Amino acid sequence: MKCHFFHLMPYPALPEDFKQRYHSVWVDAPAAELFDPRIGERAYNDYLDQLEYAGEVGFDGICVNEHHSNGYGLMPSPNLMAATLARRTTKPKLVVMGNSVALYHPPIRVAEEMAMLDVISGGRLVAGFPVGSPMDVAYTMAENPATLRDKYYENVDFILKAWTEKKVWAFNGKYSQHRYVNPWPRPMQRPHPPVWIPGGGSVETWDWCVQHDYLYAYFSYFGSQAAHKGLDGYWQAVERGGKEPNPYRAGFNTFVAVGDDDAHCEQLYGEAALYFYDRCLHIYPGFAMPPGYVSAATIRAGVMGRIEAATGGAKLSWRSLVDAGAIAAGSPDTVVQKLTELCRDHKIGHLMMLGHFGNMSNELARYNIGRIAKEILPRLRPLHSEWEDRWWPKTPALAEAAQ
Amino acid sequence: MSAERIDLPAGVPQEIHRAGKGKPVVFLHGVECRRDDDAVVAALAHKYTVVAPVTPGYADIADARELRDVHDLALHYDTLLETLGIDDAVLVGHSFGGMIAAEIAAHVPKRVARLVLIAPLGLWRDDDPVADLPARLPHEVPELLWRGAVAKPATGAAPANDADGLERMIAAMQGLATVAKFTWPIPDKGLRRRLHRIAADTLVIWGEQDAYVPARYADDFVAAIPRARKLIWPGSHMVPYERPADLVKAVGEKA
Repeated sequence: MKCHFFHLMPYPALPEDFKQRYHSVWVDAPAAELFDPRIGERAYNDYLDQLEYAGEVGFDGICVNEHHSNGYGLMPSPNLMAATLARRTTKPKLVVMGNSVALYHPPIRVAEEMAMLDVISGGRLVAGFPVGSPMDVAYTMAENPATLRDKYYENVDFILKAWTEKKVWAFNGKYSQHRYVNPWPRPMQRPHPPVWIPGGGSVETWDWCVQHDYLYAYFSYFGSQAAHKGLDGYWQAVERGGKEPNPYRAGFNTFVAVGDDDAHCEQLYGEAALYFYDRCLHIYPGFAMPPGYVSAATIRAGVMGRIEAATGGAKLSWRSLVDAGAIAAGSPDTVVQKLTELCRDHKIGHLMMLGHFGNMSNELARYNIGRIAKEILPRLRPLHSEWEDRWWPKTPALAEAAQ
Repeated sequence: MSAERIDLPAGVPQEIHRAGKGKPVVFLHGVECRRDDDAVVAALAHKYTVVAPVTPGYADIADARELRDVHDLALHYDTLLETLGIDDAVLVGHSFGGMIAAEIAAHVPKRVARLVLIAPLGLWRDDDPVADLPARLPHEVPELLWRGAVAKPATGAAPANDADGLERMIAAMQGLATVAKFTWPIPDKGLRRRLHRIAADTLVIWGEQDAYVPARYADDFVAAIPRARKLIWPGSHMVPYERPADLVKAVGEKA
């Protein structure tokens, strides 16, 4: 199987009483009051160093994503982050998880930038296309939630055609029109970079991913229980669609924290974990459910992922997070066992590990990344070896040789 | 009251409710649609034949797929009125329905003889913005709509956490999704540029304590519509439901 290092790039200095004093970490957390660019400078550079380091020590991919107007993740532009990583790394694949394509008008911009990343990196790009969180797309970027999904589908189809069509063509879409579509550059990977779809549990997305053979990655911060909720429906859709149950068509994210034993982990990582769950997930629920964002079918199915769960009240502790499987923490043996069970039981071929979370220090993040790479990854890799990974960059031979 | 489904040439399904006898009055509902259980429709039906369309999308957002913007929606209603044979329409619209009523009267001025706008959406003031209703939690929506009410009629409390309650919440979300489709993220879609086209004799009614769309917007509507006057009543955004008899009387008065 493949293991990736995923960074959320949280703002690391939200005040201790953030939850009491502020309405929401997303949308209306006042940047002028809370964001200190000097702290931002340090954070960005530490975080990029950590991603580069993860690539050096053996993670298969390094992942960035897109969020807006929040203290949860400082990457309004994932492509800027991926661009610096494309220049500073040579081995790891660049998993851009991804561009919220409904936000870009015209969407040819996304086709262009991702092709630039693929060419600069020598064909190492994974192209992720999320619908985007409600806080990001509807409230911050002002996209109409009632038409969001329709526009999203149109834009993804457009980008794929822009990458593969041989002729200059015209596009008369519902949401954008072009007299000439002819993007330069084109991606290095042929026919196009692998497409990954991060999702929060919308039932429509499952069938759509199966139909197009896109990888589906379920995003949640609630570990194995969430995997059950979010991936079971997907595997049913795979079966319904008559496709093989290849684990490499499924992705999942999880926090990973490695120490000598359970107590050592709590001592090392407890504060950072609670910072994440208490402050970074302090989301006003009204911003999480704009009308029209989820379909009636998804509400009925009760699979709405992170927000509902995230805001569901109970007082969290390190112990409760570890016990619930939200964080895979412990000694190397414990972590290997937990992740093996997770990836075997839910047929996960691409595991995105959040080795930094909350306000974790740079030193601790590097310690964790180092231990995961050395003591966890080699023991997970043999899993799913009987399957072929068709959702992974086919970096051209020339570029491989140059590396 | 009777419900029917009208099939229009363009294929957008249209549900309407009819009640009462007399001269026809068309009522366009607000952000909540009560279908056959609407106190304002019932009050108007004492004196008029009320035709109350349900905005396409309220039953299923997919029904509104080809109504892409307020222009499509205004012309859709013009087609509906043509189909129903209503030429010199008396058009009463509340809240979101007020915005759409104003759009119809601005798009097809000859269709509308009398226009009653009750706390309509459609304009925007930076110094007194319309509240962000979609960002309210489902249980907070009634609080916002009724805040400042002088007389609050009993409304059925939604049962929590049962299947019926879930379906009710889904129905309310579908309705708000339709409102969102035509008003996101700010309910200003250019109506101000078109209000001068309205030829109808226009009455603008507002609840003085309206917490959703502030009552000072009444002046903006009255200033921009050629033949308009305003009536400000003590009350909330739901003022027609607080004073249904006064509304019926006002609909019958000359502006």
